[in-house]
Amino acid sequence: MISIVDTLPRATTDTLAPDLSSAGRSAAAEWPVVIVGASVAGLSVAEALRRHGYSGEIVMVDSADGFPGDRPPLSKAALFPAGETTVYDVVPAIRREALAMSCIFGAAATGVDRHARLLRLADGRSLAYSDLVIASGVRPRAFPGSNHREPIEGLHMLRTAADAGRLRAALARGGSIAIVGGGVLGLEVAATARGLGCEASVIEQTPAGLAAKLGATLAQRLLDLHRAHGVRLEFGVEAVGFEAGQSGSGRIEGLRLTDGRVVPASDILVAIGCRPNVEWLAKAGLDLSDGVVCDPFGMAVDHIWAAGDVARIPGLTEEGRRQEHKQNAIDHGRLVAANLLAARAGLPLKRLEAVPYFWTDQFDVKIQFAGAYSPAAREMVVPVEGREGAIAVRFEVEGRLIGAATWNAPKAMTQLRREIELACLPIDAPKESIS
Amino acid sequence: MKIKVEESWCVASGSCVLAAPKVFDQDENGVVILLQDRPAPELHASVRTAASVCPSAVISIEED
Repeated sequence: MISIVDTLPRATTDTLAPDLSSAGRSAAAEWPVVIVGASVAGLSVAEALRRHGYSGEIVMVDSADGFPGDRPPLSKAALFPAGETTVYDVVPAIRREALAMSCIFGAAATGVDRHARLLRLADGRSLAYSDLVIASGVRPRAFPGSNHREPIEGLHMLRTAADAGRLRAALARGGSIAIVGGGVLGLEVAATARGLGCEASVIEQTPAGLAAKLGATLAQRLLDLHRAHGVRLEFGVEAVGFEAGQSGSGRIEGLRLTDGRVVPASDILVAIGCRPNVEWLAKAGLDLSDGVVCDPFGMAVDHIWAAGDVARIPGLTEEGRRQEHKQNAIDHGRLVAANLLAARAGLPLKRLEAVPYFWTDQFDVKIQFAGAYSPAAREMVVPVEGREGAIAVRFEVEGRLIGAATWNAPKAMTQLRREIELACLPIDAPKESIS
Repeated sequence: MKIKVEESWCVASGSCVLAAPKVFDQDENGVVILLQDRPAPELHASVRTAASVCPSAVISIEED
């Protein structure tokens, strides 16, 4: 289905023949900025373009039938009964409308002709672009061996509002859920399920789970919290398949582990990470080693940029690993918009200097993380005054603060984010350059 | 410029405080506190940055 909001820009007609002679090149600057992906990173690009005064056309393309909803609530508030009627927007509709974009929904991008500066769509149309922003995101990895194209009742993934709706219904029936994957998403859903009175099990193949992301101290605290709330944790063992249909219903009945045991469950959530949506770029001649590889300015190649979960942009504390976090998508979008306009104006580009940040809410605990974790870092636990049970953890390498995590200490985290920024910013880059 | 915040959707990231510490603060639970709703013009750019980096989009700005 193709639905078009606002007016179709002239460049979306398939009769437009790009002319990149010297006269054509100056005309190309008038072509729209085309953004593939209408979620956090794409919207952040569009908002920042307008904030910086760009008044040209913006065309947003997404294979979904509308703006994807906000994702952080999907594992939490959206799974409660009230989630059925609540709208979780990335930004309020009034802010989206102020962007005066043309949106092409239900249209998958299928390829890019870099030399003609054309984006190809599945319906055969081509969009000419002055600059192309790749914000096509990621999709959940499927359970090995399963075929998610033929949905099995009770086998879930969680990426969209529709996914959350199915999971919400399962939890409302009082189901018992087995979660494959002990990462942030899996543990958030386990906490939510317990909050709804459902049984929850988490199966994670690595023995230490989130220790490689949060450090050992908070990872252990988090697992203790889950155990205290009655979550069954099976770590260091792999899920190999599911039991279904023994009773003739075709429904999920349990999750089979490598050691032969079966965890009884009415529903299974597969939360074993995501893969970048880059297949459509296979012939574009970009470096696609786990996402779109960019320079520190967010540029993949001339006139092609990437932002959000799909993008690998080297930052202050990271060497350009993909980050699947909302704040990162916002920061990428701001960076790409500013640099896209700077490149047009012949001005110097700015490096990504935002400190990576994410949070997770589980039971009554807010965990926040900023910067980077490294197993080589010294991990130091610091008590937080005046808040019972709250702690902050500092990660230092050669005396330099590269990352920090907090447990129910949001104000301390704000200070730590500032401290990491100061510790990791190059000396010649004053703080004012971050905007 | 007039600023509004929707505290009930705040996720306590502190991103607004980092961007515009003269305009935003946090309570003990991290929830946004609006220090002034009509900031002076020299603060406007930082407030727009704060609104744009907020991960829960709870800061809205009415430009004069």
